[in-house]
Amino acid sequence: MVRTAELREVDSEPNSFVTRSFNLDSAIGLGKVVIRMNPVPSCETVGMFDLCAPARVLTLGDWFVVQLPNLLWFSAVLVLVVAGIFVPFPTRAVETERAPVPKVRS
Amino acid sequence: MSVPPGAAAGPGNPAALPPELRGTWDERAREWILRTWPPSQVLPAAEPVYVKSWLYAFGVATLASLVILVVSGIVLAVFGPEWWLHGKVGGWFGALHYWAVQLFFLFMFAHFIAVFLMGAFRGRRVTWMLGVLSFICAAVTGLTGFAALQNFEGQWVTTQAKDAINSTGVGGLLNLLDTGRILTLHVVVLPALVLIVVALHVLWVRKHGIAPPYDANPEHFAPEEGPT
Amino acid sequence: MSWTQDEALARRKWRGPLERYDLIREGLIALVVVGALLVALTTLFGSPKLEAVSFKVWSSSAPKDFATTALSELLGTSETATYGPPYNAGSGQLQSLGPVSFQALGGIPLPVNASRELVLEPLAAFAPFDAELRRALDVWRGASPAQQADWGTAAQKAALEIDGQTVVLRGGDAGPIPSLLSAMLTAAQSGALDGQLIDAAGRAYAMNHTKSLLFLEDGGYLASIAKRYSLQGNRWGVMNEIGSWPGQPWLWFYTVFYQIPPWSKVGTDIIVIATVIPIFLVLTFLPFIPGLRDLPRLLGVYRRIWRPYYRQYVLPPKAKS
Repeated sequence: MVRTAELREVDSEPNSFVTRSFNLDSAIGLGKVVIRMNPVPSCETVGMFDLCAPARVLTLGDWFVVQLPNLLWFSAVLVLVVAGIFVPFPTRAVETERAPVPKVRS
Repeated sequence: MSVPPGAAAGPGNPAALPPELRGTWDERAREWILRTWPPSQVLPAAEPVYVKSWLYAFGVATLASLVILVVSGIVLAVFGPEWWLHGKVGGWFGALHYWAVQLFFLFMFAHFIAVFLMGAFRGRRVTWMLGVLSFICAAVTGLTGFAALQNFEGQWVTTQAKDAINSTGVGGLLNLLDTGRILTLHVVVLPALVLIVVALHVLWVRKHGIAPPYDANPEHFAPEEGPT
Repeated sequence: MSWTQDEALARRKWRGPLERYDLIREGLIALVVVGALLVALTTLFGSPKLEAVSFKVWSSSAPKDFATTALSELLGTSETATYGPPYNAGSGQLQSLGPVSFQALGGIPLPVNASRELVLEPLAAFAPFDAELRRALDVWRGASPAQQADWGTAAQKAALEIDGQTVVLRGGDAGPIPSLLSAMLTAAQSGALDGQLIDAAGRAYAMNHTKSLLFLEDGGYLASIAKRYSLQGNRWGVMNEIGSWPGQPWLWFYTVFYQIPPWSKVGTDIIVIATVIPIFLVLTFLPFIPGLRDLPRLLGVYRRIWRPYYRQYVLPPKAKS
């Protein structure tokens, strides 16, 4: 864990915001980044995995910016649709015919 | 209406009622409801053979997400803001509510694309419009949910979104900074609206049945209906 | 087939072959599967929790920003004080679409007097404790508007520094303003500005945080946190969430217009809203719009979707005699 020097705290309340430095090792192994933050509220979560680290961002041109989690979300939609089109649906054994319509092929 | 043959006149057998008891609004409503939504069509035992694709599952997946969304919302509402803001269990239910929103819109988008690719709005225009309306209502409900969060995100989202709302002139009506109003909107009014619109959407799906394929075999259909 | 023919066929009741289908079972299976997925996602990743910013936190972490904002509220130069409808009669944030301003048409249903309600009245609540504050308030209230304006100009030109809990304005005579600002800073840092003092002074219950949130947003601290967590609007912030959680990606059709020219050059919300509403109307009435409603047929994906049905039940055109 790499630590950088901490700024003097303005308010010595135990739960106040402190300057933090931490080792940013994102879940998809993008490398280690050390950043020093100004006093900001700390992010917490009840989940097992802490996703508080800033998201990786994709930029195309000068205006298209998308965060990785949102990109994953859109990809999930596309994957669902493509899978829905191509993944075969289990066929039932029994098909009834209300009207006597001949099958073209069985 | 199925009435046993030879049944005596009574409220259950309107055809045998004297004229002055016929034609009530109740009777007309009942007949319209039963004609539009015959029970065998609302809860059918079978579906046409073309309903054989995983694409058809996205609608019910959206509904399932909505159910969990509402149930988790009720739990949060029972225990109140302090619980979801400061407790571990409350925080878990808050996170469940958040992920349910994510999956709800995710499946809804997939459902929308699937319905569009199948041209399922043929002969089902009201169903389509109700679907779009439910998306809009749900998006507004989500926005008020942020405001009700009562943490930094609530502060940020409301102070930013207020400019857009104010620009339309309805800032006094939808004041995102008024936490009390937004909370009651999010917990009571908007979910009721969403549920009503979604229920109508589902009823309309059952009313018309699942849209058939393009160029389906004409022999598979009943003759053209005359003007109703 | 044409749209009319397609629609006519789709309206007819199905009398063809059926297969066993159980809606209730399908619904329950979906509930279990989606439920399991949700429990897994929740337990694994949770959701972000970022504590709300109070005046105490703001003034302790960024006292200069707080004092500068308090000064702008007192002088009526803050974004809130000059906002316009629905808070007051200014025009700082007034948006219009050509000659029409819907914002102005909405009137002023949420009146906020920044100088009085955000600074002077809260300070008056502390005056009984502090003789110097009492004196400063009396001097300010007793001065003419011209005198207040002179002090205000001097205060804005001066260099604002923080010395402990005192606000120092170096250069020029700003009258009682430094004392007023120091009192605001002290009150904020002690936590006394939080609670209902600003939103509903003297009332028992209040759940309307309009005034305190407006005050908070006038500062730069809230925005600095948002920037830290990539939530700002000019970088698709509406769609984003803190950290690596998904945000509101379904709002992409709305936020995209803040990013692309020429909308990004105009920069107003109303122009984006005015663009999105017709798009949504087109989407809503799509089944009525020729061309658009024929897209599914033109795209032809349906042939792959219903291939099992076509193979079994529909004669290929060549085979017809």
